[in-house]
Amino acid sequence: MRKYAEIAKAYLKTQLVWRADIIFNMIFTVGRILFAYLLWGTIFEGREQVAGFTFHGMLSYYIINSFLTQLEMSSGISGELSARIRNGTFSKYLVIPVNVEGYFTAMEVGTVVFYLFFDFLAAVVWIFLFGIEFVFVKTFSIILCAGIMILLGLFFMVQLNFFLGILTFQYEEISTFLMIKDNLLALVTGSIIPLTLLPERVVELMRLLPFYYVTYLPSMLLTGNNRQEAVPGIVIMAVWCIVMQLVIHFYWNKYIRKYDGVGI
Amino acid sequence: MNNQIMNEMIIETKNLTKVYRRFVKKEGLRGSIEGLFKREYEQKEAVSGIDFNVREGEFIGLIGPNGAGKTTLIKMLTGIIAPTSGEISVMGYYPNNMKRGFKMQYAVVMGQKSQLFMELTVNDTLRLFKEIYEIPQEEYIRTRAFFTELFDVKELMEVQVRTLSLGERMKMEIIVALLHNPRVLFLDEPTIGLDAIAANQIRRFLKEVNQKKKTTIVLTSHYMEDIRTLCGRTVVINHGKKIYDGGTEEMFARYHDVERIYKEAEQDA
Amino acid sequence: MRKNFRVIKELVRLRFQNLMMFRLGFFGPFFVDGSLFLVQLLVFDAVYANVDEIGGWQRGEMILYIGTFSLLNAVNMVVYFFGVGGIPDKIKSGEMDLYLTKPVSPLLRLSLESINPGSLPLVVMSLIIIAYGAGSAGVRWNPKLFAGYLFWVLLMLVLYYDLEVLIRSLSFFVVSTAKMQKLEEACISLSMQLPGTVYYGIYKLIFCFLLPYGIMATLPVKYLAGECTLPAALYGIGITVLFSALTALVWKTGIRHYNSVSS
Repeated sequence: MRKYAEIAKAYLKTQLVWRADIIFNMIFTVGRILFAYLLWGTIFEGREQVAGFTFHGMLSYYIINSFLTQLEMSSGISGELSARIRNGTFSKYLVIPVNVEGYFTAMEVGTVVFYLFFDFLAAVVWIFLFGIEFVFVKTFSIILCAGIMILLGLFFMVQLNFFLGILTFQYEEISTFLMIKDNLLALVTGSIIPLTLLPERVVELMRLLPFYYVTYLPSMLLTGNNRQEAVPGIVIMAVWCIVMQLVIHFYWNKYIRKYDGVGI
Repeated sequence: MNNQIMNEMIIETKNLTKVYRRFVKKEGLRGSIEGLFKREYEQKEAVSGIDFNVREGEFIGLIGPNGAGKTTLIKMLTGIIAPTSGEISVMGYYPNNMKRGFKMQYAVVMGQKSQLFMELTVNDTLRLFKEIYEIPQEEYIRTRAFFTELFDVKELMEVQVRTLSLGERMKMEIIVALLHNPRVLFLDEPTIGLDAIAANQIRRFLKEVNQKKKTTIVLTSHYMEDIRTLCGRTVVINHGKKIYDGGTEEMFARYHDVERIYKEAEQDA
Repeated sequence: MRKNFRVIKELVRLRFQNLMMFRLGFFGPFFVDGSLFLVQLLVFDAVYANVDEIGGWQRGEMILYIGTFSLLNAVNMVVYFFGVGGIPDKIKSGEMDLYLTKPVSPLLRLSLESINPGSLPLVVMSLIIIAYGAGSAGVRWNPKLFAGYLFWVLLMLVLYYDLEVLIRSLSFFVVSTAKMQKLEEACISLSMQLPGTVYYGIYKLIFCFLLPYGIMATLPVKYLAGECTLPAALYGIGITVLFSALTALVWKTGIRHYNSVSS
């Protein structure tokens, strides 16, 4: 375990080197909230509620959701894996005595912990600056459920991206595929708009998919909506994590035997 | 040697210096956080005060250990980077002004960077370079024929570059670079990673190009063999400074081997 | 000029041959963009199901707006996106060396060496949306109107290009522009959701001046709707000139600043 903590720490330090990135990450969080304010300000003009949201409820949703979305940075994992497998430097991970998936999970933890602080800061500042009547749930059990769900969700995304990354063993060029994934994820995790705005049947379908539980449902729970989905949500997310782990296990063993370390 | 002395200077630098700035980070998490707010930089002189002169038609060697400043020097001579201070003139131009007329007259081959389109054939890449350097059709045909003959690669011109061996690929890189008959050819580690036979072939071709086309060639290399067989004159650089400049034979006669060149020449200088 | 044209022709030819080597590479970008396009349409539909007028525009104008924005984006994807997108990598890896030592404008070569015909279907789809939007907004096409619209689209394409290059040229000065590119991406997808007519105050400053994505599809549509005032037109032209000059300046300074990191 100690070595994974050390990996996480190393990546945390790496983050500190990119000063410009930190600033942009904060601008990014801020920008989304700013834009949501404008968009929904325009749409709420002359009306109290849209799809069950008040104006401030909607903004609270965007603040929490963009905070969570900023934390979900696992897409770098699939990119890194894919690039390394293709240019032959993937062996770097194979020659050290660590579990590769564990390595990447630790890397993600290091990165997330770092941004946790800055994104939180940005969110708080903006709540005050915009005078948003921040809607936040007060029931402890719901907060706990949301917390567990977020952790499971972030872990699932690490798993997913790890899996997509190792598909490079089989399909070589997957960058196109990864871009399509990013485009679709922005929609299905509710980071563009709350999913309740979509037709009910589409939402029904999304409830079965893991992406619904990564940032969307936690954001809804924390703004005091969808309470009855809290516990089932955790169960569904956990099942997806287990399934994903089995899939990874199967394909990892299959591919690693075929890997011939082209390049170096 | 004597007829070379009669030739004009094609490259002249005086007191040429390049300073890089790099960020120093203290160890540990605390150091990282400090670095976030207050950055300390250290200056590194990659090239310091070098006088480097080459006459037209010369074949000159540039040697030195890793990080000595050879590549930095080449990059300044080709205009890729600007010097921090000092004077520099290549064919009468200040390289970093990047004038078209200047670029038309030289070529550079970097052992680690390929100009070729990996998925296509060498002929495909050559066609692009024909347009870039505005080479008339007949001249293009003639030059290409000359080099494919010289390098003995006729049957490789229509093969996907990816499938060529490293040695074959390097020959192609050199052909691509020479297509527009440059006055100066800069070669940065052209034999890196090649086996002895391939390296030998490359050397033979370079020698012939230098003699037949009167191309001035500046070559950097790790391999003493490259320098010994090709270059009439050698410049040794270490820690950014010129520590030897003179005949290659004299250098080997005086210092015998590489280690001693680096060590003793520095003391002598 | 003629010589540049010949170099471009050769670059395009090579690009085609290169693309043919990878089957997936050819139509991959289409799926990438297609998915983005689909998501945008869905979001647009979901949001605007709740309102029928926004910033003085009816549904017809809004459809024209999203169609025009898609068109700008699609043309960008076909012509210069992949070339310009490769600039930061080329700077980081030192591959830029090879471009700088050639007697052809490095920016010209970089911009046009990776054209991407796979995104052409998106151009067609955008045109269909524009035609549909023009229908519902009651636009009567005539040669003058068409030429004016075309002028604005082309001008805004230049602006789009400027911003794209500008952001990536910053790689000459900072280690990573990944986040800046994310910001750009976000700006583009957000601007697709809201027409420039609704901006006020600080938003106007940001989206019409600092990062003028807000005016890109707005001006052409304003022109079609007959709402394009002289000051607005002058502003559009002025800002394009301004950004072109700024981009040229940053690029030139960047090349001088270029340190060619790796060996």
